[in-house]
Amino acid sequence: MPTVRERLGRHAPLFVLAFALIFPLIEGSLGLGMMNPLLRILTSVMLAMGLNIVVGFAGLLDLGYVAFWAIGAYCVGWMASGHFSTIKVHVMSGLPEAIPGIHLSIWLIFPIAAVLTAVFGVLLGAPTLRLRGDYLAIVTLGFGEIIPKVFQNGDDIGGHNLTNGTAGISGLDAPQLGGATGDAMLGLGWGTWGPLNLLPWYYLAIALCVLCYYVSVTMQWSKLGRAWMAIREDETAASAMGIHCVNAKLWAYGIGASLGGLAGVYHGARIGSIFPSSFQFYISIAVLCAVIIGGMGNVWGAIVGAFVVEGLNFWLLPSLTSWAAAVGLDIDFSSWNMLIFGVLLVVMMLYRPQGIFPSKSRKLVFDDEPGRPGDQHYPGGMHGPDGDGPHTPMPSPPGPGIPATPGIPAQELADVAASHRLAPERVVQQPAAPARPLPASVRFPRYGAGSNPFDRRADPDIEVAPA
Amino acid sequence: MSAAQKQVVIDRTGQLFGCFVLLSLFIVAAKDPATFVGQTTIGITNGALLALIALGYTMVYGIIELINFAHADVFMMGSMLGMQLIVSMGVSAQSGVFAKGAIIVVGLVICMVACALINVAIEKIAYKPLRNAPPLAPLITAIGMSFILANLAQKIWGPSQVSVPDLIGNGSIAGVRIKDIVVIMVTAPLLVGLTWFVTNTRQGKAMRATAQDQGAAAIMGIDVNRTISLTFLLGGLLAGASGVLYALVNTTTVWNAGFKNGLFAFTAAVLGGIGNLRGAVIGALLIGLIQAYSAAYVGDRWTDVVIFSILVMVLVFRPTGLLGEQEITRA
Repeated sequence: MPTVRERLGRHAPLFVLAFALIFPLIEGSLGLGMMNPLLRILTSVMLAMGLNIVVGFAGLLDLGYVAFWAIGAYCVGWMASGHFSTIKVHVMSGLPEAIPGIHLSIWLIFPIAAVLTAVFGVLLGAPTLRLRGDYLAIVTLGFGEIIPKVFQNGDDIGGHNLTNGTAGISGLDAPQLGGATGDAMLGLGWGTWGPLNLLPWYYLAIALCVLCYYVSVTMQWSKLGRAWMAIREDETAASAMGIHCVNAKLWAYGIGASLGGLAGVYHGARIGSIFPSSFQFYISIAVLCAVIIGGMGNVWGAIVGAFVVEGLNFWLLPSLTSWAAAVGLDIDFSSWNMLIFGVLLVVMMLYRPQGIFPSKSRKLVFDDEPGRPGDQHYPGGMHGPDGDGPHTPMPSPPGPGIPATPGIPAQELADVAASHRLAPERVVQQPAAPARPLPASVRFPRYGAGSNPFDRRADPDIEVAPA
Repeated sequence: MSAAQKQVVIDRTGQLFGCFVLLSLFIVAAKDPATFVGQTTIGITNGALLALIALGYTMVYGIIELINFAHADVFMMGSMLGMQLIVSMGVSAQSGVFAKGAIIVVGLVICMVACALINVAIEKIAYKPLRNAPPLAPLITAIGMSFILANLAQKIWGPSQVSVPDLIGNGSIAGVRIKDIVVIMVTAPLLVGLTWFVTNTRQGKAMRATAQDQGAAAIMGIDVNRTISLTFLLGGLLAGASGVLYALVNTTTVWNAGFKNGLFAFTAAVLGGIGNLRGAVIGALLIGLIQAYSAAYVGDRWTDVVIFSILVMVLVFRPTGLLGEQEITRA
């Protein structure tokens, strides 16, 4: 039986979601004025989860992630504004047909942009496949500089004004949720979202974060996700085990980029205008720092990291400035943000390089001691559910078939039990039995028959009695 | 297609592209030789300044495999300190030749030493404790130190461009700007001196040994920590010189001057084959020339795109750089 704590832990995401859903009520009644920075922070949370797939899961250091954010933002700029004024395309926009430009409903732009940025992710990832480590970082950094520059200079590409240059694209359509009928059904401001009507934007951000979370968590333990982690730990070994590294890496780039693109669409639509100057290297770095500070490879780490880093940038420092002004001090904390951020990064790396919530496998890398008794059979961390979220004991094959060595001291068995979070009475001493192959009928519910990568048959000391 | 055949195709494509670029440059040069020569000298000057920064990157990368992001900001500190020195000594464009020459020499020395100390301090604070940590940790502290330096400079010298007295002037001797001559006169001895130091002295030998294999170097009795500090010291010296020259040549500097120059310098180091000193200089000269040509023939606003595209293409076609050994499985 899982303990109360484990049960609570397993449902922690739901608690967090519930809190997030009622947060506007709390915020509104307390009058904290946090909504605007919070929307920006939530955008970074999406970005951090997307980058976590590339950097945290697949171990591909990407210093140019801002490019995908920019592409996503320009998608909504092109498809929901009067920028291309020579043509009139309206798809479910809810606007009068006479307005020039391409006007798509934002709900269509999200999937389109996700696919488009995924394509760009694969295109930009493809040249880097042969590279490792720092070379990869530099190429991605190069792309991260090229793409915003192209957008900035894109007002005259072969005589076409593609991006309107430094002036950017402004006057984006307000997203509609049924227009006037939506207003009547959901309350005023829900049918057509203005930039000042923050509540719908907040719930959209939460929905997108949940989507990113779902994608991350689902991908992490899929076959592909396990391939990513194998590549992260040792590409040569992964390739020797039959993983198609090229495909797996391209998928990581594609999926990571599409999450960044979603964040870009959201940000562009919310701000209502798009300026190329806002897609700076600094943003790539801030998101990367969020992932690393939170704990690489851990979805919750990325979320918490984004809250720490961007909360500092967009909420804490401006608030500190205004609080200081309220008590008569004239300190502009926001202008010190890079210094504070830099000190935070250095101190963090010196004293906790694994991040706030490292994933379990990453933690093993950082731990100097040889690990707990149960861990030594699985070096490098490819074992058990990762430290992300609650630890659920892996389903072990029931019945006989596990070779056991008799004569193990009781204390050691207890240690084994503790290391696997099993009740001590469930770890029983087995009489010596000949090793037998696992019957084909044994199924591993989570992974499908025969595909269990964490097969515990190698662990000779324990036997899990049926609960 | 086998891997070897693929490599041949990739190499041929790269060579074709290179030939195409050279051919188009030749055509442009034949059309208007004067502009071409002018752009070439500007390019060489830019390249010389970049080479001084790129050497710092490539030495540090060669010895501890770290992209020292803070290096660009050490360069920026050099330019800022140089500016501060010139301004506070009261030397201006109207001062006598002797005063100007003296302040340039003294400024160079002081800023070089100051930057070397900053660089060594950064190494002691931010990189040394992380010697055995996973490679991402020092990269992040490097970014952190870079932010700290940039923010300090922004707070001390203001968020906008700071002008530097134009001590060298815009005169030219035999069609070559005096600025270019000064830069070459300062850079060339530094490069020669560095090469001599690394190839001929005991400490230089220790540096090369440490770069090859830290463990083995330590077994041979080399003080690895001191050698690494020395590398940062040398990198800081060169960055300081580059900073002062940058301020003098452009007669302006700004708190984020390090960012773009640092990226270009790093691109140069990668282009030449990172860890390779000669490669860094050649790569920097190439980048300087590309910068000048693309500003003249493609348009200034596309310079960044051209340079980073070249970076990407070099890494795709020849991941170890122009002078690096062919060794693809470099971690």
